[in-house]
Amino acid sequence: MSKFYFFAVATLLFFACKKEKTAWETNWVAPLVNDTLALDNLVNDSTLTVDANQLYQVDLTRTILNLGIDDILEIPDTLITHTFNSAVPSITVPPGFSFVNEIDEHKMELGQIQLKKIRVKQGKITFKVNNPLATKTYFTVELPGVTKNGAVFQNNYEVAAGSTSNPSSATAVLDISGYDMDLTGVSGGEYNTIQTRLIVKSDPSGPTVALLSSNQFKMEASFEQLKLDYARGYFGNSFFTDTITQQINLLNAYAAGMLDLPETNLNITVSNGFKLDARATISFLSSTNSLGQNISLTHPQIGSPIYLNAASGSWSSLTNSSTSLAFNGTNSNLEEYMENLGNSQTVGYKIELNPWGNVSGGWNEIFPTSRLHVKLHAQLPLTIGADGLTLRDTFNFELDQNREKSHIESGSLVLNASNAFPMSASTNLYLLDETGAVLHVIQGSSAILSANLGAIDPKDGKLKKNSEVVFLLSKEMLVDLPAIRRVAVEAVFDTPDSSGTANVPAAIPAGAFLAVRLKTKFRIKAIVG
Amino acid sequence: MRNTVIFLLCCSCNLIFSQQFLPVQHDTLEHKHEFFVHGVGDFSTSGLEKELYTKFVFGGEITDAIKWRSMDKQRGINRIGLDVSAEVEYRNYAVKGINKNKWGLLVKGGYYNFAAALYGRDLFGLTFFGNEQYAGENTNFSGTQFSATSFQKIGFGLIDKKSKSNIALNMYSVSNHFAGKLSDGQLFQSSNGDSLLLTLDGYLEHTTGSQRSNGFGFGVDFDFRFPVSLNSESVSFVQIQAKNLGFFSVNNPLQTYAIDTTIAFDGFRFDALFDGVTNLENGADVLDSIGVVTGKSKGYRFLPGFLQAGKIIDEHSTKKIQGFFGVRMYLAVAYSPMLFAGIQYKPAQKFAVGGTVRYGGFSNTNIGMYVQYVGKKVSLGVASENAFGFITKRASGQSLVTRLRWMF
Repeated sequence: MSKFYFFAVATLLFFACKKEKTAWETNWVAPLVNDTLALDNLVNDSTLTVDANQLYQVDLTRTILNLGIDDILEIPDTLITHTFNSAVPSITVPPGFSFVNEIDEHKMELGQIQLKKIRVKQGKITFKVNNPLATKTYFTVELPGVTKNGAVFQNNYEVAAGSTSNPSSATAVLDISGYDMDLTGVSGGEYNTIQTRLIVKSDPSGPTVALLSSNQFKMEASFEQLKLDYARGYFGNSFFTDTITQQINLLNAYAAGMLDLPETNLNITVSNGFKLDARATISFLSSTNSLGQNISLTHPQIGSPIYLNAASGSWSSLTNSSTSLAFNGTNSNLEEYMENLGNSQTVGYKIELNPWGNVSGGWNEIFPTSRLHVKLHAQLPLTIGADGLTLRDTFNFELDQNREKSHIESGSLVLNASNAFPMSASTNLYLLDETGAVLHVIQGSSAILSANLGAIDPKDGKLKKNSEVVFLLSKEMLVDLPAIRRVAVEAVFDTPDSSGTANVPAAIPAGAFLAVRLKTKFRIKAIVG
Repeated sequence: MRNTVIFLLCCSCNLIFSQQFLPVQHDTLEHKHEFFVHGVGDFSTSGLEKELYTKFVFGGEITDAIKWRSMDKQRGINRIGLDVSAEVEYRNYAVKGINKNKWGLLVKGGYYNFAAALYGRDLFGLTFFGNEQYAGENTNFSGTQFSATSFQKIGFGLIDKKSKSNIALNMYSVSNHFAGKLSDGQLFQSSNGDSLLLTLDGYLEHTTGSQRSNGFGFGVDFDFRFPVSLNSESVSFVQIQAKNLGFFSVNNPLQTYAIDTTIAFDGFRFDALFDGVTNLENGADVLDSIGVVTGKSKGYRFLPGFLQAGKIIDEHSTKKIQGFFGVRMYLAVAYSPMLFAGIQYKPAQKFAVGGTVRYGGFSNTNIGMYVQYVGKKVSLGVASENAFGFITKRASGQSLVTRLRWMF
């Protein structure tokens, strides 16, 4: 009975000891972001210039097509074979006797292309020689017309004794980078022709052997992975056509509103560094924005051929031949095209070489520095008129907190901005669940105000406006934190005038910046136990 | 009330509590055997109120009002200490042949949990209020120290049959050890909260492994008693006592963390934020990023030994009122030497009650009381050195001491 009482009392007291978690609330402030956004941060080259009025100008040069010799001429891997059989049924070959010494010609299959001279930038030849004699032989392989610094390509091989039925062989791989190759043959009037000469010599220290007409000496040369940096000849009447799409990710965020850009001039320059005639056609330029709206650039020259003369000079004196197309507000819809804010820009083109055939007498030339390129150049004042221009971007988000442990109970994000851009921005955050449904909207307490509504800071002489924007994080929102999988940040831009009543195009002053300091103010519930 | 009951229960359930805080009764009678069970549960603070620290034991919400009441008691330097220990001891006076039969033998064992911390007012403020209230200020938590050690012991010794002076050599098994110190710790934040400057110079060490025994040590207990004649008719007894004076070595090297760095932070740059370089893969990355050097250390550490000296009660005195006093010390940096004094009143032959005042230790001034039954074969005492801890939620500690003595 006494044990019963002991356990009863012990059980009672145990549950009386049942411990709740210890909790208290604390308030913490900490910086999160400190950065300054300037246009210098957003461009990756010298796209921006500053004019005499200390205003930014866009000076945009982009190469949209750039072709070189590798894009025009491609030498396929070529195997040439040089064989020799004795003309007499049987001959006795004493030691040290040379018995083959003739030049053979081999044609490369290059279609329309008729090359007379090339220089190899990179490539190799794989040689293989066979010896059917019952004595060791010495092969000398010579490629007449293939020279480097005036010396003809030549290589020697020692091949062990073999037999007619089982000839012995030797193999070597040689680098021919930097060699000039005359492809005009022995006569000098051919093209695409490689010459070979084979010299075979029996072993001076070996035995006298019989050379039969059935004995075949064989040399195989495989030209592989040839890249050229110079070519002369006729390069054929060929054309290249393609469609190039460039993505401008910065504009993916465009969601709504209007952007007003100033009148713009755009030049497209086609420059020919090849010594051959060419004909280029820009088939179309189209811009598609993130809303799917598509605009094609119109201009009388789009879709029409542009004739390009051959470059002049040679080597260091090479001078390109160029043709420009000017796009402006009167001959094209350029302004509308740019204000479409296309994040996908597509160009279709066709380039035809030697459109009139071999009118140069086989004297097309491409030098190491020869390029055929298409460049786009635009110069305009960086003046932007925004009226409810809305950019929205979505980020993946995953931040869980266990409310049974220490957690953020509520809080706010406080953004302090110093804005020297003549542009205001209202910011909202959309908290989305897995399906993209909006769970909560966090509205900024106010806009980041335009510098036009501020005053000149005597420290740096810049017009700027300071703003504080508070994003309240409610308790309910933090309870839903585990369900939030994405955050959409939406910014609505306007370019108000100094009275703030109307949006007007505004030039961006040089050195404009947006200094941002974002800090967190959290009420954290500490839980122990 | 419930908390008090639970505290008493927890102490009583252990039954075997340690010894020091009840006034030692000096008994010159010779017995054949003596068996002691001592127990101590003592929590003391210099700046925390009971209504706050009991939330860590029994749970519940620490409201702003509770926090502020303790905040108001915080000084530049504050102390917290916990001593929960229990010890059993057997003394054999019947043994013969040692030093002409003058000495007996004793064997003792027990377990001890000792924790102490020294901290500043700003650390309390940061912990319970956060940093928002310190905008534009420098919070200083330099000098923060803490240590905690749990260990068991077994000891063997000799006891003078007449004076009851004794000495024992002990072996220790250390379960856990945890210690740290911040020589320099400061946090400055700008007035608008957009920049922080954190200075840290300190270390932390702790035992690793989940074994019951993570270290082994040696030490000594002694209890020297000698009479002092204040006049020709009166003899008083003075006691000099030490417990757990020793050291230990850990089986596996201690895990150590050291930091000596100044971190200035005014926010991430956008690039860093978007590139995810601030996503640190694991805890080691986080420690590396703030300059924490992790390592291992193997060496000797001191046990939290106990020293006490003072006048003790003569159990056989015919006086109804006796006084006692002394000084007490733990070998822990957070413990300041404690002075104590008390009066015992003996209303009946077998009963005594007493009151004590103590100053120092982990707390400031505390008033205690005790009651004791001294029978022919058994004596039993119950005491609290912080009587207010059972009465008011504004107290700064709680204490319960029990001692059972069986003579046969």
